[in-house]
Amino acid sequence: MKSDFMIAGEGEQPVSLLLSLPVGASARVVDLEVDGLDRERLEVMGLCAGRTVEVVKSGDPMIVRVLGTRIGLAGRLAATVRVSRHV
Amino acid sequence: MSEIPLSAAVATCHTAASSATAGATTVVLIGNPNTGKTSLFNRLTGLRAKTANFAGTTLERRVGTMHLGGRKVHLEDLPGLYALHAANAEERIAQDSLRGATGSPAPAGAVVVVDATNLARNLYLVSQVRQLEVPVVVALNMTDLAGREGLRVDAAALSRELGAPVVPISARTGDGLPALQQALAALLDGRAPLPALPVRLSACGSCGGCATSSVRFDWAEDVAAVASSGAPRLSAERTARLDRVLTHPVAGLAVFAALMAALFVALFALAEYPMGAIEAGVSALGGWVGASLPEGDLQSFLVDGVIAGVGGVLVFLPQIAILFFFLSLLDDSGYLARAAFVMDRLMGKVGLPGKAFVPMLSAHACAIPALMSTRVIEDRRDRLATMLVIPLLTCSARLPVYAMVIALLFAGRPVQGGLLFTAAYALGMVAALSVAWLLRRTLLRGESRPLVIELPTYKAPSLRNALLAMRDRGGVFLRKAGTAILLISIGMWALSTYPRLDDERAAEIRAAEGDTRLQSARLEHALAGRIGRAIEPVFRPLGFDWRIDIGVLSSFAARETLVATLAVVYGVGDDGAASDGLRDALRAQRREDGRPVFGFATSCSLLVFFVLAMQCLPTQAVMRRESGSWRWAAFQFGYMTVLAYCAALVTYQGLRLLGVG
Repeated sequence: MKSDFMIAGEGEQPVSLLLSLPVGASARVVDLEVDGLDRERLEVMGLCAGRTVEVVKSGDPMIVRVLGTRIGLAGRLAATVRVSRHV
Repeated sequence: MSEIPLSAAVATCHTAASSATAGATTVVLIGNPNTGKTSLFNRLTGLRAKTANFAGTTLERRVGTMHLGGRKVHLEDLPGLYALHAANAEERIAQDSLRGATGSPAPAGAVVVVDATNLARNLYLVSQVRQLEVPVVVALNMTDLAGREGLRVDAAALSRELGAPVVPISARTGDGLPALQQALAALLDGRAPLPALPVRLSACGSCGGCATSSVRFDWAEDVAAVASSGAPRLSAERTARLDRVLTHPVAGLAVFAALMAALFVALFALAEYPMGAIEAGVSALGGWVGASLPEGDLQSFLVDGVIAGVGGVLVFLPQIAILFFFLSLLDDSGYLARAAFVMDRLMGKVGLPGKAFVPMLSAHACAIPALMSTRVIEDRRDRLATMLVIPLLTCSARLPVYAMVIALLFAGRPVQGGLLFTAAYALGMVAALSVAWLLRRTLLRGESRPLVIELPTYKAPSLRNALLAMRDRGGVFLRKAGTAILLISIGMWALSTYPRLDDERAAEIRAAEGDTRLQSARLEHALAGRIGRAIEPVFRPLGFDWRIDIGVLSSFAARETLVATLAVVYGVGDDGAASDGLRDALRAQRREDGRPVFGFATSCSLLVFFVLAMQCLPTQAVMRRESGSWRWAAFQFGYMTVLAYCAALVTYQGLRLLGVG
């Protein structure tokens, strides 16, 4: 499906936080700065290194699209997801 | 049915295959939330399902029976899960149960339910289950929906990638179920040789960690891309449109408030009739038994203990059934996730998760179903905090008490009455939120677990599921809480009956002062009356006399009995409880110094006490069951009693200081 990130290497911007992305922005997850159960909860939802996320609605909580589904996400957690923007 | 592509190699690693033919056969149903798993379970097992707990846990599973070509198979419905990771208690239990590590033997097979419109996400769990040593059939659900929207899923290709039979079904319409049953039967009979794990899938690794999760998701996305074409555009667009309103910080909250108000009104309006019928039926039965049996201990035990106790159980049933009916509809439609989403920030201010709101609203009907519905809160500490404050919210059993106090204070003045009524509700809510806030700074220190929630595509809810949920929750309540309520009711009956007044004295009182006075003399003579007198010094600072104490004591079984008990102790007779007779009798009561017993200060203090006190042993029984320990139930009782006592003390003494009697 969306496989553009595979070759996106040089088209990506430096790392930023998922929380700070504007609506409509799409990015690749680089890593998570959270441990334990919350990390696992993010990962099973697909917020995990390598996945592509798209911001559907910003704010706290925000809505992102990962693996074809909408995920409601608290700002506190969105601030732990480091992403690199697709251009 | 569609062909089951099988690799030529006969699996050697599937040791569970040999056990499939022996003994009682259990098949596990597993899948992500929102995949229609419950619908499929209901379809396969019909009306024969039961809810049971995993041994030693509060985690529930549903167990039903289905017939597969003459063979009886137990179908076990695991909770909806996204993955099988060991760190999450629920997922660990599910994993153990698939491996046969929960005490019961390993299942002979697993049906993994997959949402065809959400393939990549669902395949993650499939890959994990596939790596356990249990034969797997994949039920590819919602194929009707996918087809309508131009999404095509190639079951044969998917089957090759998973190394497991894949059967397209629609749990909603029942399409494809015979094929699913055939595939399952073939698997259990050992007729179909078990396919080996495809190389790519076995490379995914089985431990957690983001590195392996990442590989697994790569695999899932690739397989989804290979096996499906097109995308469910229509429902995606509809969901996007609806979410623009329903998750909006202002409009979303407004819709939520309106929906919850409607739910609340429906709960009361619809439950009123069956509750009335139950009360009338129970009282008719009591009257009939009372008239058919000679007066004495047996008659009193049956009428006031057993029948009244059964009535006390049944009367909760309509609200519980209706609540779970509507919650199931809201959940099925996909809305409940949005409710948690819009409430998360507001509830977060007192340290509760967004998912706590709906249970807390339900608590205004009855704390028992509210405690049961906190199961949606996945974090244990969040759930405990919510459960601990739920009984502070004004349940419908408090309403007769509020009504009585308001009638005492403001009869014929509806505005003041209405204000006091509102104040009582508000006091409950403020207390619940404050206690939650306090708990998150002390005993359950920390913030609520931050929100991560799937917002599923909106769907038309299933009436069938809602009716079955209603029946299921009602059944759990009757079995688990019902027995406790009945026993408590019998216990309270014994307290207010024994020791008995001797016959001579009873005859004297009846001759001199009549039946009504005899009723109150009996209660005073019984243990309840003696305890009431003994604890009078404790409650005197709140403005209660020993007769009110008997009422307070008796209302530990159920609050609404206060009104009936006061009617008996003040000699109106329990028939007089409903009429103005009680109000006038209470108003006429005088203390030794000539002041009225039910002055403004005492009435307010009584009201405050009833708003805040834990006077509901059935709730305590459910609290123990849901929290898994008497410790939390005891703590809840303790803090609420202290809170109620102190608040009533401040109310009474404060009003007295201000010179209000």
